[in-house]
Amino acid sequence: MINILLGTTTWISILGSLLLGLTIYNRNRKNKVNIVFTLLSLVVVFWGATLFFFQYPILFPSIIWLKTCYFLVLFLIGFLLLFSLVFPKETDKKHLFLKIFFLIPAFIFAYTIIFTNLFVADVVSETWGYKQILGSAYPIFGIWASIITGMAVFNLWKSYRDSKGIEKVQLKYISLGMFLFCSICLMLDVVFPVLLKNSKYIWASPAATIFLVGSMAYSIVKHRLMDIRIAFQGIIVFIITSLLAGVTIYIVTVIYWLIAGTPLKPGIFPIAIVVGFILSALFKKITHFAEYMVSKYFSGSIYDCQQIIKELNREFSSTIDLEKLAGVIVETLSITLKLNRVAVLIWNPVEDRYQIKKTIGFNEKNGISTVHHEFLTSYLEHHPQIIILEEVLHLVDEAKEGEEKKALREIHERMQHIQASLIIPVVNIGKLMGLVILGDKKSGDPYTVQDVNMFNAIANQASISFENAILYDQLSQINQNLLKRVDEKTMELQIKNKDLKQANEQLKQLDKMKDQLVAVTSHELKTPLSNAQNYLWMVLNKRLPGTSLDGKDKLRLERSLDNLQRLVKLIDDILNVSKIEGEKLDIIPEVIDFQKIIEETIFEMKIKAEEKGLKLVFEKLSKSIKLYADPLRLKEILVNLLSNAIKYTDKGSVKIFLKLEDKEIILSVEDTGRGIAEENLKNLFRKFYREDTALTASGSETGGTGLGLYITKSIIEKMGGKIWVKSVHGKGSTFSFSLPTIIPKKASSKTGILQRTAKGVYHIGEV
Amino acid sequence: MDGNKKRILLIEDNKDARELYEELLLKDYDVETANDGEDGLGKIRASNNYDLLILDIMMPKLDGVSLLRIKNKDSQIAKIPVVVLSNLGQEEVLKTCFNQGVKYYILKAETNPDQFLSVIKQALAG
Repeated sequence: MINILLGTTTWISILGSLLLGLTIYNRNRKNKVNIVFTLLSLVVVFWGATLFFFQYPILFPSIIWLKTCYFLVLFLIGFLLLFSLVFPKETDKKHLFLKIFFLIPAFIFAYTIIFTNLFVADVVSETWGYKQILGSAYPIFGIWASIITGMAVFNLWKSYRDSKGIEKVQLKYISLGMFLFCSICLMLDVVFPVLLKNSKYIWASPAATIFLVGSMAYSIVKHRLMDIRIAFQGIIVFIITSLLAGVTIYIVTVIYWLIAGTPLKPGIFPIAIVVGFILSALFKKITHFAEYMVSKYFSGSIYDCQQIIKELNREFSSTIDLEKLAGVIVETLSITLKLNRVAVLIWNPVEDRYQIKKTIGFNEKNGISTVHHEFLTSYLEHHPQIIILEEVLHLVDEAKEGEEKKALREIHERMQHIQASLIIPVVNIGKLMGLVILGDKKSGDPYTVQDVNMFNAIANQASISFENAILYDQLSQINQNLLKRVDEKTMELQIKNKDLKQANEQLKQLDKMKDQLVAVTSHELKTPLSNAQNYLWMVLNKRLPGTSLDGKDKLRLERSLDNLQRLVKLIDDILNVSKIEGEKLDIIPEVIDFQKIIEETIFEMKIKAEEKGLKLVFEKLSKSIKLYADPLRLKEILVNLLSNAIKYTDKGSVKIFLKLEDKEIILSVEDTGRGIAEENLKNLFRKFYREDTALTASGSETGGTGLGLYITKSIIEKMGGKIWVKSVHGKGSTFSFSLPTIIPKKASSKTGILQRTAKGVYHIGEV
Repeated sequence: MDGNKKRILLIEDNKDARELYEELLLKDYDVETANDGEDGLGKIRASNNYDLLILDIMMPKLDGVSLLRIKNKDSQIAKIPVVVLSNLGQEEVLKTCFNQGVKYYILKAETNPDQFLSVIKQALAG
């Protein structure tokens, strides 16, 4: 029964070693460590196989198998030593002494094994199986092999002592495995046969490789040895599956043996295992079950990948907020995968760099902020693939360009520094939108193929969400800035507005005060004036009983009255100018007969003209002319122009004529007076302007206010017309003004509110 | 007191003006005078049978516009016609007065006694 157990174990170890070796070689065919380990594994495989066939010979006699076996042992020892020298890192030391100490005896032993009986004397068949008769040189070989393997284990132990972190843990297991393997082999192959003369179990020593393979497997899966954990997990799955299948076949065979009574040959074990391998490769369901088991007992975590993707997808599609998005990723990944560190970096288009949006576990002590630097992003922009720390060094080996090698080495260094194990780039249409940086799983388990596949799926989904969120973030930032600026400007405007309002209010107040002052002043001035005027008028018109006037007194009183009237006129003019300046000139238009107004005015002015011996002529048009204008303002204009003409004309005539244009009427007052000097024409309509020289020269005239033409011009313009003058100095002047002839549809001949029946009398309603 | 003569109350604070217009009116009308708005209002309320009020605007104690407002709210005296006699020519004042039912608004400095009397005559007629 022990033979069956040993046989099974041997074959499991053999196949395990084979797969382990091939996988490691396949991971990196250029790495010396991988090559050495693969060769070591292959030697173990052949060594194990030859030993098995020595005990259960096929094709060749037992002695040939044994000799081949010892020949292989030399290689085994050699590669073991070499492995201990190159793992985990190859040093620059030449180890010349070691090599000589190994190579020279190895050649001698090889010769001894193959061509003499000094090593293997003979093979005899015992009841329990084949027994080797040891040659005289065997003990020497045993001692030498012990020393070499001891050195190899010592080397590994030394590396273990000097290493740190994960490497130390890896070395611990591998040294332990190596130590157990070597110890058992020495025990079975050297101590037992040489000292105890028992070589019964030599053939079983390959079973000890189970410790080597096992410890290697454990450190690979649990502590990521040689960067092959992802691939290796598949191997373990496969081995377990094969074992299950193999054991099943074996049980079936045993049952068959019990029923049929046919003795079972030990050769059935390898066949059962090989068939198991084939079967397990065929039955995916078993694989899945095994996968579950591996995941549960090796990785310590099991999660529903689809569920996570679905959950994240839902979150991605429902949020557009960058912070929230980052938060969801960090939370989901850290919880479901039980990670100790997760960070999400998202591209900030404004600052054109990658910003940490959310992080758990990563801290400044590890220099997480250095991920801002380009070392990660610039590489990922060109190689948008998930980076796994352990794989970076392989990428270094595979990289062709020196630059890329350098970049990858830097990435490896930095990832180690910030304690990042895996980096997921989130890429959308060739643009790196962000990074998800992961630390380790809390259990210490490595990332699996399943994990990586899931990360790829998540990255795909996240890319669009990232882009949208970035755009949204940008937009809301712009929006916020805008709002802020609008607020600021509004505030400024409000303050300014308030100031303006205050100023406006003050101005209005001042304006009102000014208007009141002007109104009250003119009122106060007019009150005594009007009294004096009326008393004088009464005297002149003999209203007072018992008054009699001689001619001179009458003239004096008339002059007094005339001057008082001028004063009133002056006050009114000033009041008018004040209104014009304040744009408060009141124009109350109505539909009027223009020629009738002219005639009325001429009637009033005729006496004055005749007093000076002037002719006042009006060339009336046959057609009646209707205007929409203020009749009293119009009279004011006409009185102003006519009295000026009369005042400045000594002989001749004052002529009024009309000219009807398309949309306007032009009235001209032409006199034969002294005219106006050309240089004074442009100043004529200015406020307080008077042609002083002319006035003082004449002497006989009392000066006007200098406001008449200014007021006239203002009134005409307010009624939509223009005024101009043509004059030849010494020959006369022509004042002309235009007024629009268009009558608004709604205009009525009576305003109904305020009317003036005569100068100074107002009434409401009909005249 | 001639029973046929129309009764006019002249409310005018300026003594010279008051006496001038009183003299002008006395020939044809039965004239009473008041020195200010308050005095005028008292007199209107006391007698209540004036045919016409001649009212100045700028007066101490109670100005013409305020007097008009009080008068118009008092149904007993609201219907008495009013002619304003003032030197205030602002459109604003004019509009206010006409809104308060004033019939004529005479500017003292721009009308002679003849014109004044003719307006009074018109006011009493219609």
